[in-house]
Amino acid sequence: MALKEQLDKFNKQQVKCQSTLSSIASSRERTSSSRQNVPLPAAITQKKPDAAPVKFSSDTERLQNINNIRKAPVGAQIKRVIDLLYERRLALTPEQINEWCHVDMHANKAVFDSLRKNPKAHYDGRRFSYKATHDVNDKNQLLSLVRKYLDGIAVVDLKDAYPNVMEDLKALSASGDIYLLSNSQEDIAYPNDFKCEIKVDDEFKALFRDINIPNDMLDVEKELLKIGLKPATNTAERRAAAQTHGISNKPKDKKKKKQEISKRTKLTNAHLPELFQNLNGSSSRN
Amino acid sequence: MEKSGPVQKAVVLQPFVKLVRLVARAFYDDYTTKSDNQQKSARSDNRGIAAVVLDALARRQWVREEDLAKDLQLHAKQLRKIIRLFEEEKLIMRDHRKETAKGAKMYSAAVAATTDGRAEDKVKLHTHSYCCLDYAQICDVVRFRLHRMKKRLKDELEDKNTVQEYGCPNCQRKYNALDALRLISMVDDSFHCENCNGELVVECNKLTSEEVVDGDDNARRRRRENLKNMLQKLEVQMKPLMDQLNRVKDLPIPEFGSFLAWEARAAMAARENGDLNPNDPLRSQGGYGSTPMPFLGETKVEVNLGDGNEDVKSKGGDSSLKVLPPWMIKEGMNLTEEQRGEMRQEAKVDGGAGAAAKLSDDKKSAIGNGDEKDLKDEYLKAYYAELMKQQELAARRNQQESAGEPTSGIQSGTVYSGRQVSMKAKREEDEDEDEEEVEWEEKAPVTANGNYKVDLNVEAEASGGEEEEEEDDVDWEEG
Repeated sequence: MALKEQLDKFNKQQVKCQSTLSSIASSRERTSSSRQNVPLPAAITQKKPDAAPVKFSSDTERLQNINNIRKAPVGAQIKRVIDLLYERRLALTPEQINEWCHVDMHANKAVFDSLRKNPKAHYDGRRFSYKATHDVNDKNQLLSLVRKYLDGIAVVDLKDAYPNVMEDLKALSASGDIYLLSNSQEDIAYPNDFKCEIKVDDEFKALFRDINIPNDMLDVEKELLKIGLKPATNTAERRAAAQTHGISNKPKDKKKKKQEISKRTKLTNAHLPELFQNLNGSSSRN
Repeated sequence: MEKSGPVQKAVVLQPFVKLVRLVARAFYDDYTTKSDNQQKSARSDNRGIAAVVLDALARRQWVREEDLAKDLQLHAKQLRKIIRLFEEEKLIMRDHRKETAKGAKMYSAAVAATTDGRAEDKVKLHTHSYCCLDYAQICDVVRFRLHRMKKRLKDELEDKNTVQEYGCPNCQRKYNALDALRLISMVDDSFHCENCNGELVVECNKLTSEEVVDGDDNARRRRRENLKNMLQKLEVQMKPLMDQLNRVKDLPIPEFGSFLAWEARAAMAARENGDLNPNDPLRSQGGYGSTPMPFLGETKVEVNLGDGNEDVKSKGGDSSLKVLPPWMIKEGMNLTEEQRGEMRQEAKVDGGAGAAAKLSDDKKSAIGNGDEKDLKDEYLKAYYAELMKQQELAARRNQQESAGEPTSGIQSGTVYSGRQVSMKAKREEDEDEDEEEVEWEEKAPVTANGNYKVDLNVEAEASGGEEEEEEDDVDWEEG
């Protein structure tokens, strides 16, 4: 009697599995061609004598995933294909694309046409390949590309050129071939085509910047005349021309520092001691 | 945007651009605009931004700072910091002006604004700043600083600066040995600060601060060797820069002039090249010239008013001459008497004849207006009555005069009618003088009004100038 009960349960499971498989096959017939109907009955016939529930469930999940992928909207399928092309960096036929990411472009014409016109994909009649913003493949080509953009090029536009772009950019920046600056939102690469002309130590750079320039350019000219050099600037002439135009071009005078009271300063208003509360040393002295 | 404005043909720009790039990479290659707060959040350091900005300026002439920031994909604040540094170092020139956004685009494209000044006043004005490399000042400043660097090293080598310096650790003040009298303290043996009475610390401002100042001979010789090595190293490293400066020394220096001059030149060049708006610079020039024009117009208007008055007077004079003939023809008896009177008046006084003619002209014109004979008859009656009255008055006056002077009485008795006529002439002369005075009075207020208006214009110009000055102040404050 126990054996009979087990046999009845097994028969019920068999009926359920056959119903689900038949529904999947029917949905396939709508979207795919008649070729793929052929292996389905073979699979069913093969798996009947095995009678293993684990295999049924795993196969079902795989088929459901494939079904979900093929039922997704066109944009999602296109993105899936482009991501595959980006990762592989190879020219793939539609069959290979179907094999890797289960997007069947022959069955879905909308996906095929959109992908052919997509700016990120290149179709040569037989194969699809990824098309980067800039056609750059290695470090030297990257450097020559950056040098074409004198006013800088955004790093975002370079990231999809090839996988190791960022590492190459950092290497070029470290070697001084490019400047890599950030404006708190993105990085920008600028060319430095003036390299190895001059090399100055940091101490000399600091010394150069520490030297103060007099506020009036006339003083610089006088100093140059003392040395024996001829000044290139003619400030007096410039100011005369500016006055004819009516522009005031005089340099601003620096604010003079307030002279603090020292102990040598003679203090008046001695009968008002609250005026000198701020003084520490002089008050103690007095 | 136009990245290269009109370039002067005679001036070669390439050596100066190379000089600017050399200076940028020699002395500003490691400059960063980072503050302590930003260092944490920054993804990468900003070393090299000074070189990038100088290279971009070397490719341009006068350029608006916002446009430059957009081209380089930098923040405007970031760029403004760098440009302010270069302005303080006297590497670039800077100019500020108030203009609308459209005007700014036009100006940056080296084209004058399309709208007139009046229209611009209605639109909101913003202050925009323009900057340009100043190659002449760059040459001078770089040479000046190189000279100072060498001089400092040589002075260090020759121990010229032997004055000791002291610093206060509390209030960061600095003194030197020449102030020793004021720093001496009676309590202990050290120097004290004037301000906070803290103890001063000896400072070493030597370039090789590691060495002890009062070392032995070996230490001193080692320090001198270090200084010599530094000097030689400086010579070697500055050689390319010095070569470029010498190459540039004999070349004519490119001078873009002030921003306004450059803008005018750019507008002319654009016009010659077939600009789409050829009338814009003319309009802008007209706009600039519009301020003196109203004054000239007002002056002309005044002159025309004066001419009009003169015309009116001259017309009056012309009309009086025409009325004379019909009167003389119609009234034979009166004419004979007047003819006699006129002849005698002319003999005595030249001006009297004209006055008499004017009076008679007035009477004739009155008669001419009324065409009816009845009016004429009534007028004649009134005329004769007035003549009788005047004759009586003249007779009375003659009697008075004869009593005063007997000789004149004899003459008056012989020529009675002539005396009466002469009396009329005198009255007429008086009236003429009055009229002349009236004319003078009329002329005086006209000139006075003109002067007053001119003064108003001058004041208006002065007030305008004041307004401009105020705007300039506002610009600087906003900058």
